[in-house]
Amino acid sequence: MEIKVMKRAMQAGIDTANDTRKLLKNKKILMINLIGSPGAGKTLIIENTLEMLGAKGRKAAVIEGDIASSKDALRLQKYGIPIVMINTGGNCHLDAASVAKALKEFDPEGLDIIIIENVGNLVCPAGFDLGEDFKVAVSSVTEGDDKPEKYPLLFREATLLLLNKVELISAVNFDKKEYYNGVNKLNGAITKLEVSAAKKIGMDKWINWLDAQIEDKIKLEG
Amino acid sequence: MHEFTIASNILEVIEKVAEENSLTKINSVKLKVGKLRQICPDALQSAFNFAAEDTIAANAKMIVELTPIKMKCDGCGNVFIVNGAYVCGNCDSYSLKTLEGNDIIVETIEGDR
Repeated sequence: MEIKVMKRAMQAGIDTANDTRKLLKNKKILMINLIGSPGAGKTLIIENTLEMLGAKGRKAAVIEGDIASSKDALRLQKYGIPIVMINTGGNCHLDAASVAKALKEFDPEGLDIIIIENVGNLVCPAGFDLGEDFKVAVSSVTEGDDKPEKYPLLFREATLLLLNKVELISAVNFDKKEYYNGVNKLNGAITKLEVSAAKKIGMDKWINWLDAQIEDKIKLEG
Repeated sequence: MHEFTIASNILEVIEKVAEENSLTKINSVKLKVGKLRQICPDALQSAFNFAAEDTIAANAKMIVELTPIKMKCDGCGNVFIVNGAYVCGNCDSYSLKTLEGNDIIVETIEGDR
């Protein structure tokens, strides 16, 4: 016998993400979801961000998603901020339920921003709403200029794109025009910033942008 | 393999429906999957087989219909199906709202009582 169902398979995750968004809206905390390939530079970008936002007096916490190991979390320990490690145990992305659980592991009072470092992967994390305010795509020139067309969902979903390792553009024959053509086809509204976390190029623009988002969130009527 | 998470979610939904309808076995599941989800039907089937082992849905066939990505232009209201570029063909705006293409809908299940 055939039974009509007509239900969204992912509804539970969507509900959890919306609950998280509501909670953080009340607490006036911005939450961003950093997504990019392994080796794109997400952790180093977060390190720089913690330093630079800290200098502006902003209080941050980090949720680290990794398939295994706590290497990234250990790298961030020196900043003396709340860090929650989510070991996905093989799963290639974070989900709303694990983030909601992680949020219970520290005191959010007084925080301005929560940075989620998703599992290094260009495909899977893009499809899962964690309750963040927006997704940030971290792309690096060493991955090649053809990535937007190959991995459309992330570039479609992200509000801001950080193109990292720009000091290596000529060394790896990265065609910026080709790359941005690919990005624009998918998302003409995305904010694009070129940075090098290692050489500290362009990071001030990223921090100013982020700081403005934090300010907007604080001003939002809860 | 985001298909594994999705397969587990599908299993949860259909197990509940099967219980409500006193099914003892689920043979197939009809799904509508938006193309934005970047799902590979074969990978979804493999993931489902793994997730549903030892359940009433073991070996159930996933019948997947991939549905197009439909956008509405924030500027002029034009509704269109994306074919390559995410830009309004009417007014060239990039400011678009996703109407369809993101959802995974369990339409029907076929099973035995």
